[in-house]
Amino acid sequence: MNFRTDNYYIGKIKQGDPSAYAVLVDKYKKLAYNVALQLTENREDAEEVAQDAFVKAYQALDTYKGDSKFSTWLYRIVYNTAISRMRKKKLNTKSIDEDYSTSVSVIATQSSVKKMEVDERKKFINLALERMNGDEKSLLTLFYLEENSVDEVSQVTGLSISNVKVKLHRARKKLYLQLEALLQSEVKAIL
Amino acid sequence: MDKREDLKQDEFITKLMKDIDLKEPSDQFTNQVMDQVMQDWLSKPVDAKKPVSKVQWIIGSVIVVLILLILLGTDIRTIISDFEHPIFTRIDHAFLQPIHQILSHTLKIFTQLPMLVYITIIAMSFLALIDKMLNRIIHYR
Repeated sequence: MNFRTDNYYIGKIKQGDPSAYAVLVDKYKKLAYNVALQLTENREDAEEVAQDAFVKAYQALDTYKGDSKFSTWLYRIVYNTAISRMRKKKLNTKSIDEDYSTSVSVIATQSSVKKMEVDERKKFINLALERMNGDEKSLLTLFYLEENSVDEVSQVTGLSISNVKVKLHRARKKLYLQLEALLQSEVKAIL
Repeated sequence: MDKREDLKQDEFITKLMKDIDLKEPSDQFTNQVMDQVMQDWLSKPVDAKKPVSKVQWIIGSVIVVLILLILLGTDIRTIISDFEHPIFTRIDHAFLQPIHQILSHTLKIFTQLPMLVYITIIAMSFLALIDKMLNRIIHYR
């Protein structure tokens, strides 16, 4: 088990021991890869983006002053690398500023999902997430999976705090709508 | 949707997201990154000297100036004042004597300070040193 903080390894790298970086790569590769995957929606691109981001982060390590968490700083690099890769490839991503004013039956969706087995639940959540665009998925991942604060998500994405709050609210709502739609089609299929 | 419902939704999504299986990057991911990192490291010349920070420069300069002043006001002045050449006498009067007087005056002030001041300064410096050491241990653990 490893109890050392990121700053310990950063200190070692800055002192001239680049092999210490492997610990940080191992620690953050999964989430970095998933953030990249959600934006690029392609496994090969995501792998390249995440690797590029790690190398860029290593090269820019001297500029990391420790004002924010290392993970926040790293995810910002991953996010920006993915965005510029997408721009280069001219991939069209849908904006999440769409209107999701449709009412969502929260209680009905929650109880249906709660009744499901874990595996079934996973399947539905993954399906619902697949129907969302990269921006939304990466915001949800950064906020819920990595447990970043709104402020940290704002630092990673470069969006304003109020914009992050609005986008998160809409992404949550959309996830609900997708879940609801999936559950309804499931019920119809059974009937 | 009211705020309570919004909060419920937030809690629910938090629980839901914990069920998500994140995709794994390839097995060679770390090795490939480290290959590039090592190439980058090897391509850069190794800095033998650690860069000196601004604060270190200031502290160093202050120490050097202090040592010079003490030497000029004490030892160097004693040597120069022994010569009876008019140039040395002039240097002594214009430059070394005032430094000597300032040093003597400062020393007098220090000797007049109560012992409690010294004890407090030593204790505070000791506490600051312990604090810095502990911070470093916690920070880099």
